[in-house]
Order: sequence, then C-alpha cells, then structure tokens
Amino acid sequence: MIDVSDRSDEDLLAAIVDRDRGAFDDLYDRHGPWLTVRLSHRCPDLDVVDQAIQDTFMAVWTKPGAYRGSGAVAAWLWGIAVRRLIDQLRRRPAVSYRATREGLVLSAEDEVLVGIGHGELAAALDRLAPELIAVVQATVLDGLTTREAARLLQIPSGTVKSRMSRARLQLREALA
Amino acid sequence: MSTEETWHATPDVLAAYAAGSLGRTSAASVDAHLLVCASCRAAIVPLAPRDRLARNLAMIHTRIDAPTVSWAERLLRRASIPERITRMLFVTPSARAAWLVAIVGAMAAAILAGDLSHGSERAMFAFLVGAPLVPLGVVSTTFATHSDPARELVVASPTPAFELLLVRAVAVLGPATILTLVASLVVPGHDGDTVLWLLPSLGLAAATLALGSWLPVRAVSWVLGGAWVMGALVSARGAAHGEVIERYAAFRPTGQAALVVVTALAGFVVVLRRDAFDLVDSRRPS
Repeated sequence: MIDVSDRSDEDLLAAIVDRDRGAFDDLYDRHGPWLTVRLSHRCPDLDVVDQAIQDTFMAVWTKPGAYRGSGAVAAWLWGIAVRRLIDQLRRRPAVSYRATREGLVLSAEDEVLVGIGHGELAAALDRLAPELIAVVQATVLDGLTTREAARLLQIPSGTVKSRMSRARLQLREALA
Repeated sequence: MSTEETWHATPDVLAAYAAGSLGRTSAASVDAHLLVCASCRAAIVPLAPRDRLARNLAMIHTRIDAPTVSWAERLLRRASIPERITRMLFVTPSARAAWLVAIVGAMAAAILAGDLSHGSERAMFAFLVGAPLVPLGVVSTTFATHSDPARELVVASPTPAFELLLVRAVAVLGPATILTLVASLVVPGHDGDTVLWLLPSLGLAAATLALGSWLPVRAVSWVLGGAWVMGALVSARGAAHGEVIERYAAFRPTGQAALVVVTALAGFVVVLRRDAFDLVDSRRPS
C-alpha cells in the first residue's frame, strides 16, 4: 500500500476516476478534516455540515472528472463543499459544478488580500463592519459568486455588490 | 495563488481554529491560508473531530455501495408512490426486460407481416387477434408464481400477495400496452381498426384473473387464449374479402360493448376474491 503522502492530490483524483476506493479514502483522510472544520465555522448545525461533507465526497466519487486540473485540488474541493452546504441550507437543487472554478477566480486585488500575512489581514478585517466582513468572507474567502453569496446571506445581489465595494475601499485604505 | 507561503499558522492558532474559538477575522485568515498550504491542512488532521469524520466516511461508503435507483423509479417515488411498491416494480429488471424484448419482437413481426402483405386485411386481422395474447401471457406468467424469478420475495413479503402480483403485472402491462398502441398506429391501413385489440386485451386478461381465483391461472389463460384464437380462425374461414375483421363478433360494436361488461364484471370478481391469490401462494407444492 502506497503511503498517503506519496501521492499528490491530482494523482489521487486520477486514481478515483479509475474507481480506486483506496485513493478515495486517502483523499478523504487528507481533506475531510479541514473541510469539516471550515464548514463548521459557516454553519452551527453539525448535522447539516456532516450532510454537506458526505454530499461533497459523493460528488467527488461520482464525478472526479469535474476537476479540470486548473487550480489546486483543495480549492476545488472547497468550492464543492461550500456549495453543498448552501444546498443543505437552502434545500435547493445542486448548484452546477461549472460555477465552481468561475467562483474561485480571484482578482489581482483579492489575491493580494489572500496572500497577505495572518496578522495584517486579521487587523484589516477587524476594522470592517460585521456585515461587510460577512460579504468579504463569502465572496473573497469562500469563493462564492455574488448570487450565491446573496443566497447564503439572504440579502439581494445588489447589496452584496455594494457592500463588497465598500469593503474593498476600506481594506485598501487599511493595507495602504 | 501558488505564491510560496512565508508563514504558517501556529499550533495554538490551529487548535483554536479547529475548536471554533478563534476570532472571526483571524479564522478568516486561516481559512484563506488553508486553501494554499498543504502542511497546515495536514497539521489540522489530528485536531479535527475524529468520530464525526469516521461516521461520515462510513455513510459515504454506504451511499457509494447502495444500489443505484433508476431514473424511472425516482420519478415514480417523486409521484409519491410508496417505496415498497416501486421496489417491487424494479426488483427483477431482467425478467421485465425479457418480456419487453419479446413483446417488441412480436410487434415488429406483426408490422413486418403487415408491410409484406401491403397492409392487407388478413395481416391486420392477425395483428388484432395476436395483440391481446400479449397481456394474457403476462398475466398468466406473473400470477402463476412458480415461474416468477422473485417468487421467494413474493412469498416472504408482508404485502398481500395479490397487491404484489397486480403491481408486477401492471409494471409489464403498462409499457407493453403503450408499445402495442404505438405499433398499432404504425401498422399500415385500416386507421379506425388499429385499436380494436385494446378491449379484447382487457377482457381476456381480466377474465383470466377472475377465473384464476378458482382455477389454475395458467390453465385458464391457455383455455381462454385458445378459445379467442379458435374463434378468430373459425370466423375468418370463408369470410369474403373486406369483411374479415367485421365478421369476428369481438371486433363489432356489440362485441366491444360486451367486452367492456366482461372486463368490469371480471374486475369486480377479482377484487372480491383477491384473498384467493394468497391461498394459491400457500397451497403451492413445496
């Protein structure tokens, strides 16, 4: 048996395409923990989180080919997981896989935001109003589209956009 | 996003993050960091809820191994047909497939025969007489439980045997009737006549079931089916051109009306005597 650490995420996904249950379990052991922790931050109902985690890995098992090889597997998995969580929360039909990568495309400005150090970002975010933090979290950090963020936060899409531009402005000032 | 990370979350920060006690904005920056840092993702593994992770994986395995539910069955379930019924419908797909193949083959042969004889009246007559034998065969095989591949299921099922058998008969008869109806519309010529087989089908199947509550279903189906074909042969013998179909009483308006009555009466009897089909089951030779 090959050790978990010997195979890259991409190799594991390729093996899952060939119906390799061992590779699937390895991928779960590697990514299930942080996905579970992160989703738990988004939803206080742990049963809903567990359901979303199960749905996420069912999606990985049934359609591993949906990963097109652009971007990190971790980001791809998160894109699925957060959408499965929204599905669970809203009890709506599944958001299409195709939205996953589009949602994760970060602007240069966002990339700077994600790339900056732990303390700086925390300090910058701390100065934002709570409703702005929620929008930044949903769109920039969770990689949701404006519409998905609007659904998750239960506010109109226009409000998401206007809050996001306010947040960008304030963050730019704080980080300048 | 592939920029090399210059810092890593400290064990304390990760522990607080996993426990959910880290402040919202600090947690947000760990969120962002985890997406790009495999070593911090690995560091969080021992801090994650082990029991829930194991339980979720077990559930995922169960779901992967669960039999896939066909779209047709999901459709029926969405139409709020109980699962115990839909399971019965789909429990022996191979048996059902064999039936459908046989029926489609018979229909194709009938259409071909009709084509070869240029839509002649006799080919049409053969089709009209032959088509009702299809549901008769289905009823006979379904209710004569010794040939049922799912018999053990039927016997062991808490559902009344009659309901079970009826559901399984309908599962085959439904598609079969639709296919035959389609075929009858494709058969050339005699536009008005092409659906004349429908009432004889119902009448024969219902009468077989009704009598089958007293007598062996298979024998009844042979006798009634034989009588139906013999009647057709006798009627067609020496019939003048252009009145072969009309000569057979079953295809005349009065005959069709009589078949409606027969179907209704037989249906009434079947419902009254439905318990008899349970007896048939328990009396079967072991």
